[in-house]
Amino acid sequence: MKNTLLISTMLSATAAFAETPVLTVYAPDYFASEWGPGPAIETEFEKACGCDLQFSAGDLLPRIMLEGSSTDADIVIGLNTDVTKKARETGLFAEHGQNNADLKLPIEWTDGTFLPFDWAYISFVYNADKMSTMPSSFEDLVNLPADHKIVIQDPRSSISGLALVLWVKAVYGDKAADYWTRLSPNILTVTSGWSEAYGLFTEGEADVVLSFNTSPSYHIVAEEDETKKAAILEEGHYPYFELVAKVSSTDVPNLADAFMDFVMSSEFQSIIPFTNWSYPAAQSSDEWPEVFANLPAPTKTVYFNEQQAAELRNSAVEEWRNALSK
Amino acid sequence: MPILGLATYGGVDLQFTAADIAAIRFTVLQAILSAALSVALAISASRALARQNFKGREVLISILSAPFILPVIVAISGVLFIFGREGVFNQFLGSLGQETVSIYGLSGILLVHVFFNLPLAIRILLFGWGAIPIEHHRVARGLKLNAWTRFKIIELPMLVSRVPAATAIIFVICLSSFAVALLLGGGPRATTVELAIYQAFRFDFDIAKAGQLALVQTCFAAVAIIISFAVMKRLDVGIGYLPTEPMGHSRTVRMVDLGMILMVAIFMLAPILAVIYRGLPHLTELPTSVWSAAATSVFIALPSAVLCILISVFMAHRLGESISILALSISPLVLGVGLFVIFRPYINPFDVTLLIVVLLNAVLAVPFTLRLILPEIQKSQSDFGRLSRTMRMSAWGMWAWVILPRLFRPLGFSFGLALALSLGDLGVIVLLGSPEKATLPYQIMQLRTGYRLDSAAGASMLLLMMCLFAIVTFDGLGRRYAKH
Amino acid sequence: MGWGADMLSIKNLKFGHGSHIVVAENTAFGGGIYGVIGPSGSGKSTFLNTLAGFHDCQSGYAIFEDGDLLTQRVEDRPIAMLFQSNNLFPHLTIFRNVALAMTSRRWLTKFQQQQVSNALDRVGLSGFENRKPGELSGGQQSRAALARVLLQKKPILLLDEPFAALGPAMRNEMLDLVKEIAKIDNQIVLLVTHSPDDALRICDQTIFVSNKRLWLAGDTKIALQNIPSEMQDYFG
Repeated sequence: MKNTLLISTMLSATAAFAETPVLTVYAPDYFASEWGPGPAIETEFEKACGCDLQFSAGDLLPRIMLEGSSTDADIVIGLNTDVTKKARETGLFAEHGQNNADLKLPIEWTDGTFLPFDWAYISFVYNADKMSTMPSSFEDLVNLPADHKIVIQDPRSSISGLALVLWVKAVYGDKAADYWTRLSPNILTVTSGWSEAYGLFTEGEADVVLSFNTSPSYHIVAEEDETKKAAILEEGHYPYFELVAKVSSTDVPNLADAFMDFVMSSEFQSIIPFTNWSYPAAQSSDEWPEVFANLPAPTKTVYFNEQQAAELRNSAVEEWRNALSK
Repeated sequence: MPILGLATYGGVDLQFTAADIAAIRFTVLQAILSAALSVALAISASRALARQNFKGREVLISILSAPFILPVIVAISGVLFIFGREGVFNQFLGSLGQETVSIYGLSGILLVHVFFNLPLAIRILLFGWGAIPIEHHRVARGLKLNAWTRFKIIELPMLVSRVPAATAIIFVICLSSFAVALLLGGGPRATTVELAIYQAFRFDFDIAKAGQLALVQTCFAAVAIIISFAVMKRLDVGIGYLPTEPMGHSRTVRMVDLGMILMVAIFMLAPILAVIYRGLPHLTELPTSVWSAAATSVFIALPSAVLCILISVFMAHRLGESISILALSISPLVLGVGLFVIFRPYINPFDVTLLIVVLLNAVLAVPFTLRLILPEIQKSQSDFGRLSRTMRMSAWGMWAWVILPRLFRPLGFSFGLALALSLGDLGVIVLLGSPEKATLPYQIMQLRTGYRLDSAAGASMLLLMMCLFAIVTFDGLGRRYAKH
Repeated sequence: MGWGADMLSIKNLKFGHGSHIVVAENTAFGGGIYGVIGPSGSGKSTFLNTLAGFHDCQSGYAIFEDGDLLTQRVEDRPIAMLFQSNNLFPHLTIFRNVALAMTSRRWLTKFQQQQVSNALDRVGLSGFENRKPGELSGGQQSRAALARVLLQKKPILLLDEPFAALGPAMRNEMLDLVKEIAKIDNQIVLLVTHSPDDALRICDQTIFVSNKRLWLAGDTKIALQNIPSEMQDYFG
């Protein structure tokens, strides 16, 4: 956790230049939106750096790959480990320069290029008022009564959908295809993205949705609604890390480094919970806001690293597709 | 030009997996069924509407355009409210002791596609109906021709001249359907080519594959267009006004017609009402950014609609129409990337975002406006071509004095339609937009991804109101200033 | 003697709608050709359309052969009507267009075929059976429509400026044809025209429609010499 004072002194040197330097950050739409962490982060950082932070929203990976080394981006924020392999192979990203030991994650983080800034567990979220049984294992999900329906996302178009498929793979290994076949009757439908699925859930069409174990925090805080709960499954959960990385070809390396430092700072980390509704990566649970600390959390973590995820992806998705197409 | 973007993808290596083939097959199947169903229903519905004159008929027709202009996700939300698991319809069935109906599956996709496209088909056919000279109806009555003969002699020729193009347009629209098919299809069995393109591009970054798939999609569209245009006769008889005099149908016919109109109206309006019902309570709590986004939307939509009409007028011939429908089949994703690739060396596309959005919105609305104004232009040209030449009128003169006044009716609706389509566009703006230059649909999307589904509902309602306002106003204006 | 011997009597007839209601004098029309003359918008066409049944009347009766026409369905009225345009169906041949007067079936009996040929012959269109209306000139189309009207054999014939788009020579030819046909069958013919010359040429009597009134002005020559003041401007 770095001191803002340190950052600002470091940057005052940079700010000695006449023009206001611009830090271009590529981020996903939800991040840069008015209701995401973007605006608060922008304000905080600009205070310290005396620069102009500009978000550019859109599809991260394709843009980076299309633009290559001529990209305007200085920072790319919002990728997750299931897709970083491709990003890494572009060679566009530089070392993040932060101390991985400062991260408080359920697994040990060894990557020097991609830095997690927040995380959550992939989870099934349900409406406690409507469920007659609260699922606590994968088998429970299969055994749900016929009128309890699950909605999930398509792994081919949704990053959270992909995480689900990998999660099932991690838990069931060779038996994953069989599991999908058994779960399939309970699946109401598959959407192309998280927001459509979550919309179906909140509108009552589905009783269970694939989301994050931190999703209920939004309902508790913003809507004072305690009925939405995340199912904690005994087989363990798959963590979803959101990453930030510095672009090697950045034209403002000092600013970029400062931003990376800023990411690990308490200012940045405290913004995360109530804007991105996830656990801050560089804060331990006793520093989290109470509502987050009180959320039910999995006791076991199952995880594929970037390499494994890349290797298993196609076959896992194909198994899923086959099972659900029957 | 948008097609150029496609041409930049090389690699003629056709390597489609089994999943891809399945996707192609399914896509074409559901598109054909959707188009056929929509048009069949439209023929009945437009017939009923044309034959029965009742108070407020014109306004009803305007409002019935609503489903077509909404962004997909807003309309789906409305449809699910009525037909979903917990929807009004199922609750109704439940109270009658019947089993509930599941909308997820091919039937759901067809339902929503019909819901979306019926308005367009009805509108195209209604204009055709109005083009039938009133004398034909009167002569038929005077000659005491039976219903079947009247159909064969009077209606069928009109249908043959309109239905194929309408079917082609709807087929193409359904071909590139993406989120709808997946969500309502119930699972990966209902994968469309668009989704495959999406995956190839966003996850695998396999541009070649994305391009090939896009090409396949466009090929199917091209085939549909060629077939339909081959079927259509050359003579097109313009648009006109719906007859207001009673046509001598028996009471049973009248009842059946009115019944049909009622059913169609309920089917189409119920989900719309659902959107209003969901959103109204939240309308007052909308954050200011939503209102400014609404303003941005209007700011983009107006020039876009004007541009669209201008383009339509210039492309007002068979070839132009074919090209424009083809453009419809190109997935917005491919379009965006194509543009990106073309423009990047020169300017950063994100700088001229608004300009491109205006342009693209205009282009994407052209197929519809063209289909609506083309018949009248063709008729005017054939009617008055020789006359104006003998009077030595310049092309401009003929346009200003002869053709334009006759175009007011379809132009009114077309302008309103182009406006509404641009207001409700989500595809283009998603590719190029950013939170600062947000349009209303973009804001709705932002709200949804930020957990704020109630506000999203409110904003959706606002969008719906704006679109309806656009259509009803301009359609009405077109009607008022139209000359016979 | 033809079958058009009965009279068409109108009584208390008011037609039109909104602010344009025309009151007709109680009159009776016998066999013969009546010109219906008046300024544009005065209700001439509306009068015909009301008699035919395409518009509803406000009140009144039109008695013919002991029945009130206005209460009958359009299809049942003893009326044949010719409009200004669009009388023929563009997708059917002339033969079929004319044959519609008798049957809608494609296949005609020898007798029916003969009837059609005769009708076409009478209007001078023999040999045009297999052409489509689009291939014919305006005058020829009018003749074909007239042939069909002939075949309908209705006692009352309503003509709503059917020759307006024709040149003077052609128009006169058509008018003479109408006169010839109407005389033979002694039909009651109401001809709307905006040209007094047309009326003078073939109409026995004249009906004026003007200023929300309709009345039978009697013999054409006399009527047109004594045009009411309100219509002076119109006639010049």
